[in-house]
Amino acid sequence: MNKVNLYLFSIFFFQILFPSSAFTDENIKVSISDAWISEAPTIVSILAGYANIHNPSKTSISLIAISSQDFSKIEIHRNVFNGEMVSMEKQESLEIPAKSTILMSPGDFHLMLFNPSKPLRSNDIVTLVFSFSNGHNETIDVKVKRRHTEDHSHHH
Amino acid sequence: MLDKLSKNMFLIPTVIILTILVISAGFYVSLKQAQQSKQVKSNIEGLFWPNPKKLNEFSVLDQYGHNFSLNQMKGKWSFIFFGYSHCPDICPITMSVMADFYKELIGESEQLQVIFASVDSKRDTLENLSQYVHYFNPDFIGLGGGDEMMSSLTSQIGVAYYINKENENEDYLVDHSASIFLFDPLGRMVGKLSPPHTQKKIIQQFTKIKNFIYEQS
Repeated sequence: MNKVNLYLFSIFFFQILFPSSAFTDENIKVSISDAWISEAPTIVSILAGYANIHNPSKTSISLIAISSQDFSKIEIHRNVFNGEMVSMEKQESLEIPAKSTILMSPGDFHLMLFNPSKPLRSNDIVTLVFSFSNGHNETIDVKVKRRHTEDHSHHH
Repeated sequence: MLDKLSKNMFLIPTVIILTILVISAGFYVSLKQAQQSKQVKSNIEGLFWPNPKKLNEFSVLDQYGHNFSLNQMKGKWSFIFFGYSHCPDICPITMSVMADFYKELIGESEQLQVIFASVDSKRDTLENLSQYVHYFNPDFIGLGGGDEMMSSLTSQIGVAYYINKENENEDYLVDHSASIFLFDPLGRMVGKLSPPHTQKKIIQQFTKIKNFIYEQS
């Protein structure tokens, strides 16, 4: 209990000490983790990619674009099940609500990466730039991995 | 006299009560049996029973350009998934799961085949189909041969698909069924396995459906 109080107090104290704009939401970065691109047979020119995007700030932030020199274009899609049928719906942006994480995962939200400039195999690494509505860009290296069914079974 | 009367007085109600008991016991047993047989059916998710649809003759091409017809469906269990190779998410997920359960079931010497039937004849040439299915398992069968040929199969199964061509370029997407259709060794459509697909779920469903079908014959 003391620890919790100490913690709360230090947050309070911290905010009194630093009320300036140096710690406003605009400067809190979203973080991207567990990003990967699924390896596919070489004849396939549309690949899927997945990532977890965490927004630690107090306001919602949207992922508005993803770009890469290794693909002609990258879109955000979501699978929509309509009874028997599945279709992919393009998302113009992906909102990450305040203090939450969006999990992109097989069968749900995913990146759609068009026309890789070279055939991609497992363990290849490509660089993606994620652009957010608060003006931040996050550049990350993403590994190509062979799809294992364990990768998605625990998400359902 | 009094003795006889009192005997009859007891005998008649006893007989009546016994008769009612026997009849209701009979009702009870038959009701239970009916419930049990109903439970067997309703417990199996995705089972098409009774009157599973029997496939009529159809003609498509496999990835090697060989004719694939009803004959190739006989004598083994067939799992058919309708998709397209440029589908980035649901199709490779399903193909990976099918690769996993195929490996396990083949290890138990089941007679089965896994079929990927393309609903995108424009991009899925037979050569592309060959590379595509081989990536997941060299035993897998890829079916194509053009829209007209494929409709001889899709129309019977009742599979719908929709090609989104509004983009006017090569990057179009296709809406399609996410289910896996299960056929028994007589070529009857006995089940439909619905997403999300996992190896464990499919093996459990398949085992139940298979045992049920064998119990019926």
